[in-house]
Amino acid sequence: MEFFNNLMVGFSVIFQPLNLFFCFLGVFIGTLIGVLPGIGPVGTMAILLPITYGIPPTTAIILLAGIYYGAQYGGSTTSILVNIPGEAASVITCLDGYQMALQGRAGPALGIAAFGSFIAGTFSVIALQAIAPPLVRVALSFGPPEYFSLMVLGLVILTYLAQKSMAKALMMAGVGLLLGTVGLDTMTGQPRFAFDIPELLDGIGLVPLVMGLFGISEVFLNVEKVVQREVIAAKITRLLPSLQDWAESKWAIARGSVIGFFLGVIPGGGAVLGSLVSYAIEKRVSKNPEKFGKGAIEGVAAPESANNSAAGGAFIPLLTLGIPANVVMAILIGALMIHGITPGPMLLKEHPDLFWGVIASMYVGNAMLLVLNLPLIGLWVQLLRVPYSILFPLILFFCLVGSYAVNNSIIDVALMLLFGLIGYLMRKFEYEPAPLVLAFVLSPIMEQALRQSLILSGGSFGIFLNRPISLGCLLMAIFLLVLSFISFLKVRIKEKED
Amino acid sequence: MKLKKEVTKMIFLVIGVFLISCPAFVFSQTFPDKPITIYCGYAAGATTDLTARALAAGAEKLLGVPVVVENKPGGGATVAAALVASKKPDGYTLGVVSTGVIAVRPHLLKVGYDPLKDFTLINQYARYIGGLCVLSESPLKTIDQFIAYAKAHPGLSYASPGMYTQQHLAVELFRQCKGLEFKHVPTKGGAEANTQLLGKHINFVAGAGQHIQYLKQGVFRLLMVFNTDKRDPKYPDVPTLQELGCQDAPALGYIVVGPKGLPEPVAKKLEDTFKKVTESEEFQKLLANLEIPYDYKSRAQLEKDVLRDYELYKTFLEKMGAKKQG
Repeated sequence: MEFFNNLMVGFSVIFQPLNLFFCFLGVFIGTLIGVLPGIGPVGTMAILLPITYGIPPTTAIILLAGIYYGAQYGGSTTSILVNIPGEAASVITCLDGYQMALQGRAGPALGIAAFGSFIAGTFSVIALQAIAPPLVRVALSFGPPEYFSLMVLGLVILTYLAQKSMAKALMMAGVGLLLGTVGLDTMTGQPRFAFDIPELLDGIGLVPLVMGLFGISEVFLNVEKVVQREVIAAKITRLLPSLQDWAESKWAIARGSVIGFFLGVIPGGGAVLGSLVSYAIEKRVSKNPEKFGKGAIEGVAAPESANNSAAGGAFIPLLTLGIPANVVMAILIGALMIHGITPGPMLLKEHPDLFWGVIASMYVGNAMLLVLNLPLIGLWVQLLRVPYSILFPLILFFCLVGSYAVNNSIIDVALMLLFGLIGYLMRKFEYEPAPLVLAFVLSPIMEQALRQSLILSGGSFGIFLNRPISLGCLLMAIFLLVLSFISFLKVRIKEKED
Repeated sequence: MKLKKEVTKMIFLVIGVFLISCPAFVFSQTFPDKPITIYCGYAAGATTDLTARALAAGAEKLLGVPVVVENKPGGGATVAAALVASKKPDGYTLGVVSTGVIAVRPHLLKVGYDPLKDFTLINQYARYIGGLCVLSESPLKTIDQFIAYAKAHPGLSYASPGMYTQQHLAVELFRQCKGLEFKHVPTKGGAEANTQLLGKHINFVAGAGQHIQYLKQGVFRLLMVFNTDKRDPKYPDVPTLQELGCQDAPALGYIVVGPKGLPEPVAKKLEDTFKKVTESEEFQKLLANLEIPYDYKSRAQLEKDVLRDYELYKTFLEKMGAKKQG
């Protein structure tokens, strides 16, 4: 009963015209910036922060939250259409999404991403409302050792993403881990691999890395093959997923929603891990895993559901503990603190209208997003008809502007171009960029967790085995490694017999 | 209804500020006549960023030109500091940074500026604070009990907002002074440090400001305040580190700086403007909401104090064996 009472409180807040308007404004802006590569939710929310001084705090959070989950919808669009992930959590979507676009199935890919996002978003709001308090306790029990073991599991799952060679994927993951160590060492405050460039003290930015490896290298690659374009454009048949598409992706969406939500609750890397794990699981349970990487609709549905669900999950540590799971959440905390509201365990008691109002706004906002995004699909697909000679200079332009805009740094632009070149060579030699990027994202969290754990244990590695959650993650990782090794042996033996 | 009241209040405020600032227009024949950029040394949403944006919004009304905040995070605000130092000293490029970029970081890192020569200091408007906290369910109620417990249990672990932060240094000075042994877990910031205590992965936390929300909610217990020579009026029973007979690491401050060689009238005008903004009711309310102590220092005072802190931190860091890299 309480569930519905709370919901009534929330809906009475969101259906005030002012809040409804700002909710729409938020998701609308979010959709736009999600689609434009480089202009992310962080920059937009920071610019809009002073505007929120003058509006009530609940309205402010509804607006900012709308931008955030709105951008999650949009993030997949560029992944699918031009193979540039809008954010780290959409890296995996490139694998099958872009392949679908090449096969003329951009419409169904975008459609399933939008529907999956809607279903997962709604699921995560319901889950957020129902089980936020107990989940907080679980999230808190994740100390440094648990984080480390979870990241180990994440990296092992990375090896499942290998399209071609697992050894190459592991190598790329290793490079990603190394790139993640650039910058000030948080444990000792010493600069590492910074080469006296002050901008590198904070590490290599994710945006220049992703834009370079995916976007710029894509431009380079496509300059080589101009003719294919017309063929693709001619093949576009339908805009929405067919019944068969639905049948193929319904379980992917369901599994992605659940996985994404639970991983989203854990501060740091939640959405990235969620998209990663759900993709790997789909590939595992699929009857024909060889389809993955060649345009399997499940490969779009699962990670896109998972990252939206994780966006909902990330609100749990924010609203209940005042802990930001990522930079976006830190800005939301800032917006609350400007109004003298401290997010944390007491928020629910002291400001129930804010808490439930924001949650109700997410139901409404998700519905708005679906209505907003479906008609846009037709427009996006038209974008594929734009000739290369116009589209690629445009991509290059957006990448240059986008990489500069994040930190207003010319070093970032140079880095992006460098990674563009590296990405081009990698693709030529069939090394995949996805494991590199994902390992890069996990690397700092993993390193810090490892070193913090060892400080706590006085140098003993036993700390990873003594704690049940940590041990569980490690055992799972070993199990997966053994499993993949066995299947590798089987293939080898079969090859020999043939 | 509430919103309408807010809007009316805002309109009155804007008109009020406008009226007050009218004489300022008469005085300023030339400066400023184009937009001013403030580089903020921290990411969007950080408390320093929130104050910088409020500062810019206030100055914009007083100066009559746009004042834009650009985030240049990195290297403990040294990236933004180096950038400001490299700009033309005309008052159109300023920075909001921590005094740490002058007093602390140059002892640890090779920075792209001369900390004592490359800046025109304008003023300080707030400072960073620290407090030693345990979970409120802990049986330790006072710092004396804590010291006794720590003596009996060497190797208690604590998290700080980072290596060589003022909070880490204060606890380190406390440890040496009382002959204790701690395990230090550096984190990426106050929020992460607090979370580790909430999850009981460590024994206590060297809070950097965000710990106050947990004090208010009764989740943490404050045993000692540091980076300060005064007790916190909200917790009058909690002693300062200095009262325990130990040396304390001086508090770092939020400051506004420009490149060296700013013309005197411009520097004066900026100092007066920012002073007026920080004294405004609106800005004071923001600081109170953010739980940041207001600590105004004029240009002259700041120049003196920063030099002192520079020498103090130099000695502390040398004693701790921190080596400069690069």
